[in-house]
Amino acid sequence: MSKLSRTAAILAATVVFAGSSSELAAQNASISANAIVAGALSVTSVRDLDFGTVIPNFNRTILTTDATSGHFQIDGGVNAEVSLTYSSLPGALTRVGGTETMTITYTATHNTTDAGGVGTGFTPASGLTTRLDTTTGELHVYMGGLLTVASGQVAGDYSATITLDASYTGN
Amino acid sequence: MRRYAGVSWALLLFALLSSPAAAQGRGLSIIPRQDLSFGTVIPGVPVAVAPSSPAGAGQLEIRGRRNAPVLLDFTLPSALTAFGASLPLSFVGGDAAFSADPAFGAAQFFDPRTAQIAVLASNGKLYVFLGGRVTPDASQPAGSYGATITLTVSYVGN
Repeated sequence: MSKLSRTAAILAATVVFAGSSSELAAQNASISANAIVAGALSVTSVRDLDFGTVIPNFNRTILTTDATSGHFQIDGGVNAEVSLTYSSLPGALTRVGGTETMTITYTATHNTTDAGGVGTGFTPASGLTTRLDTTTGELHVYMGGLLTVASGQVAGDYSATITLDASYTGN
Repeated sequence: MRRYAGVSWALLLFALLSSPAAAQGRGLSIIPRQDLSFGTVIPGVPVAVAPSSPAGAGQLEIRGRRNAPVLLDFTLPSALTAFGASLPLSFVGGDAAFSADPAFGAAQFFDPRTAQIAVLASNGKLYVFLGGRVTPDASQPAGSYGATITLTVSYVGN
């Protein structure tokens, strides 16, 4: 074998050996682990549910989309699941300084954006489990209702307090 | 002599043109498919993600020689961090799994804290899944936390 031929054979062996070494080298790749820690949950009373002036014997309905519907805003962690319950949902308004009442039947909607009362309906007495907005962490709850006014309803200011509680479910 | 030289050059040319894959099988590669995501967590509420979680588990795809045994070795951080705050991250046995099926079929679970030998499938692929758990304390600062997890893979034996 000539010097040239021997050199070629050595080179060929070197190439094959180099390929084997490269193939056996360890490889690695990375992924991220991530989590979003939610901030404290807050509930803000944006607007009272206001039936305005009513006339005896004429019931009054306020829709959730009306300008005087009740409005709560909940703020918390984006896309966090929350449980909403009413710790106070009185079935009637009571005259200030008196004992006379007018009964209320509630309606409610919820929406992850402030949509003027438009949203998904739910039964307030049953509460609600839903998720906060995936970007803002907001949830809006609107309340309407039917106020029943008796024919002999005593004149005066009537009121009651509605209290909405929100808590994270951990989901 | 001149003919021998021609044969040798042909051998050299063959060697140069032959890829290692053709001579020995495919080289290893790892493709990240999905991050390990815990989503939104609440202060004081621990959250665990199972390796079988389609949306939450970390996923990587390994490609290499058909039916070749490989060593899977994770480098795992002990916490996620954000703005100087730390969110403890931990793993237990069964928090990782490997499967020939990208959809987790017939997955075999293992402890990601310990290097694990697995065998690439007959198509040369293997899918690795990783779960884990975070433990935010009650006063955990709000924010977006993250960390890097590295999987090192090497052939075992020949």
